[in-house]
Amino acid sequence: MTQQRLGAWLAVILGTTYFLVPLYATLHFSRQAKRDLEPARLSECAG
Amino acid sequence: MRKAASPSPTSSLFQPFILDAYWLTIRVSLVTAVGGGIFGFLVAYAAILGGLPRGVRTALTTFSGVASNFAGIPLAFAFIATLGRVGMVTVLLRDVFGLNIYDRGFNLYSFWGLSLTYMYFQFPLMVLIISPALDGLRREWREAASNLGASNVQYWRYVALPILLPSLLGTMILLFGNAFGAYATAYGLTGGSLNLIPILIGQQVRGDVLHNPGLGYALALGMVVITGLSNVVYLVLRSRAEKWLK
Repeated sequence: MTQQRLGAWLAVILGTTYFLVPLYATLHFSRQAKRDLEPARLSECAG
Repeated sequence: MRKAASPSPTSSLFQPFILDAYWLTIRVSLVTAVGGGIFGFLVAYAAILGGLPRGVRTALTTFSGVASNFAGIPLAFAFIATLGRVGMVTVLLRDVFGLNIYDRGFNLYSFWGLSLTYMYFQFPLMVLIISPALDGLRREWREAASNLGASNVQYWRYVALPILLPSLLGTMILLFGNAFGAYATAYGLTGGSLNLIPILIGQQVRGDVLHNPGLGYALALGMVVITGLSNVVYLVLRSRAEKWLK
């Protein structure tokens, strides 16, 4: 692979990472919040 | 009982904290325009002229179309979830690499944190707008320059950059204006702790503790003046850059 193409792939990978990481972090946060709230919701239903 | 006269909007306009707010807003806009411009240009160049598969350009353009409009409260929340004190990346860096970025001085709710957040919609906008200009950069010019013995640096300095400069400058001015007027992202992220002009205008007009709509309108006119001045700067720079095209 030429140096130019390697540089181009690197730029695109960095750009894609910058785009996708915050989106994944939002999904991760909402899954974690759902997991943390699940016991409280279950005890509400039981009580 | 006589109503107390409210202070004149123009006399209040030159208070130190308002001038500081203008300067801070200009700095944030400049940094994100230049940073987003350079980064967006590099990514667009890589996808369009970097010899990558065609699908990369299509995917990048499509995603840029969405990401350039992804701003406001959802963006602020996404960055808090990423780089906040217990954000995913913050925790990952701390637990895996032993690097606590907050101990090293980073703070998402500061000038640099806000600038990093603004880049998220600035650089896709750059990718979208500079792509047609990059399409206009013909391969034959590169081949001709290379045949005449020009190095990569010489090609960029004497051929490509002079041709692209008007578009680059115009897009960066657009990014400047885009960042200058951003309100919801800054408010969602900093909660008004950063003294930015759009946030000040909101505080004056909404009447939350402060209520001087006249000052709000004067601040907005100041924004129009600054945006107008940036357009004048663009016209001057473009006329100088276009000398190369004659």
